[in-house]
Amino acid sequence: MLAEAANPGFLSFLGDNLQQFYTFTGFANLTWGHLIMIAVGMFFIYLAIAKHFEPMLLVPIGFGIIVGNIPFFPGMEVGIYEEGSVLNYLYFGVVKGVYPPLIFLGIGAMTDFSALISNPKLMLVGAAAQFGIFAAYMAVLGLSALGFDYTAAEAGAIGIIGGADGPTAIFLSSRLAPDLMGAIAISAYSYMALVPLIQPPVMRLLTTKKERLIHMKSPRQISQTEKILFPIIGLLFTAFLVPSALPLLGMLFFGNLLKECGVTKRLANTASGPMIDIVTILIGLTVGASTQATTFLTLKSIGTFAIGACAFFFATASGVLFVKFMNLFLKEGNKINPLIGNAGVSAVPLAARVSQDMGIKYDKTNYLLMHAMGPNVAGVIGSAVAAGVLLSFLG
Amino acid sequence: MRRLFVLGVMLMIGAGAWAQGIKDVRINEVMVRNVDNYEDGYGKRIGWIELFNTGYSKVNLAGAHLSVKLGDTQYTYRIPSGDPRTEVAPRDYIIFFCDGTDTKGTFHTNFTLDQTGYLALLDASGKGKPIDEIRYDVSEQEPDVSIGVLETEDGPVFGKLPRTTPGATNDVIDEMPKHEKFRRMDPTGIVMTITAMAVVFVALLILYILFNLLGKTMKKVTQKRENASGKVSEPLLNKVKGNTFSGEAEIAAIAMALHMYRSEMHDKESTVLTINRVARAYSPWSSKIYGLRQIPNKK
Repeated sequence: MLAEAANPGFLSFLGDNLQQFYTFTGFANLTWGHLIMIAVGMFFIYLAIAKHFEPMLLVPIGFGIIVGNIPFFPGMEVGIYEEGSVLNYLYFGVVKGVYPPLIFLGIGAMTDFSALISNPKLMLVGAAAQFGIFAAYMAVLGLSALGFDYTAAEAGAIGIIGGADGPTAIFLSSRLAPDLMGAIAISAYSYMALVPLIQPPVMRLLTTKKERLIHMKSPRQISQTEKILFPIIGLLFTAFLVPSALPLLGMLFFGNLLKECGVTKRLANTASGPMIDIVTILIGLTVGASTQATTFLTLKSIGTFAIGACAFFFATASGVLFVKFMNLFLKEGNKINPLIGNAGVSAVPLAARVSQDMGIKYDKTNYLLMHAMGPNVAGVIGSAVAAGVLLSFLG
Repeated sequence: MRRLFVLGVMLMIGAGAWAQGIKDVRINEVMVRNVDNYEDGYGKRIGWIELFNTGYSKVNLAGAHLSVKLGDTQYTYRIPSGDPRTEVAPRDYIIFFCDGTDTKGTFHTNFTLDQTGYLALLDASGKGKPIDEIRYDVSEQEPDVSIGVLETEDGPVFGKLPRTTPGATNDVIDEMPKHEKFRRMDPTGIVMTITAMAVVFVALLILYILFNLLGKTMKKVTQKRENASGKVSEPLLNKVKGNTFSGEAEIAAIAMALHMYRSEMHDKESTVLTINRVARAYSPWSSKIYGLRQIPNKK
């Protein structure tokens, strides 16, 4: 046996095999891009665990980025873009836009629209904040005019980052710009997690001290009938106007009806609990894994990140400024604190929490959370409608 | 005699059906100078004719004639019988290569297209009025540019085609995607912004109006009910008591307590803290008297 092992033919055979094995390892296929993306994934996990920034999203996405950037020899059917791989099957739900509506079902089942129903004028704040989407759209078109190679469909898909709604961003980009979907999703979720850092400076910049101290009237009690009517009427009027947003709006309002009707508690619990958790895990992991360095690290992706930040800035600013504009027409005592304008971007409930924190900072007795939830949930509807409009024109 | 009559009628019907079938076929596209375009089965690039079955039943072209000079057998090609490939499915296409040889198979004609500037499709007799015919100027034919029928708003027009489409419709799909067309009309995105923001506002404005009205109605209904039952409404009660407390602090305190309970303070709690009296039924199994902690009697 030892003699056989000492045989030079056997050794060269062993050497060849080891060499061949090495070509299949991650080390042989490693590039700087993979290392950068793995570092990004680790940073996301750090933000989630150490800083508590949207841990439910950033942990799966961060880990997904690491999974997607383990270098491998092409053709082994392991990569997310390789047909037949398990990750590819899971990614199907992202590519075909299956996961976002399911997440919207869960969001609907866990969202209390009472704040919005009790003070419906806050819906307009949610509408105004969608300007961020179209400001970004115009910015991308402007960049294209300067020589950057973005199509109008890509501009629309990038613009939706300003809606601060991950599932909507994935839904729209999977249809308008599948190549940029990873960058758009990562950008949307990253900026959503960074809402507590991005929004306060804009809010401070655009409001006076007097405005920040406005106390809003407490919301009135909402009857069960109103809560039940909201998803039905909401669906009818929004989906008739923008049928292309039906997958999102339909599921959102359906989930909410399950919650509010009072006779489908088990379904509502499943939609808002295990189901949304499962889909969040799958969407987070696969979107993260879709950021494979070989396809992700491009000038377009970097541009997407840069414009995404602008989109958030404009969305926050337009929400705050619109509240100030509304206050011009509202009587004293009915005025709205512009610090809830930022919540018009979806990012539920993080943006509303930012309003609350800012309000408390300037007046310890000023609780804005419930008021901010109004534009916050209106923002979810608004961004879905905006996505529907973009899809109608550009899809 | 009757049998012969039936057979004759059937033959006539069959011939009529064949004739009708062949009349559905049109010369759809022709390429006279093929330099870098569609190849035949031999890998050669030669002029070709595309015929289109405009009908909704299959047509067998066996026996029909293609001719570039009527009445001249040198310039007329009879499509051979017995080849099942000459059957054209409904709304389908068939292509003949025109290399001037009749030894390369069913789909190679004995004439070329750069000879007369005329092409006709004839029935099995090879005579009479052609089923379809075209005329073109040979000298004007550009390399790799085909001529054919193109559907326009004013009806079908024969002429140069924007793209060669052998085996497919001549109506070229507009290659410019919808989003780029939109961009061409709105290069800055302002129209999109105004339109989309208007739609978003309208959607939410409708909801605002509806729920504003609904809220007012519900308030009135509640007020009426309370008046009917003799209850004092909450705002009035607050006024009477001089209670101006908004309740926000309570909401915030409860929310904070729930938040801490759910996320921080009591992550996993196996027991329940309660102020209710806990009644336990007596059981000898849990009785301290029989418990092992009792010191055993050493006697």
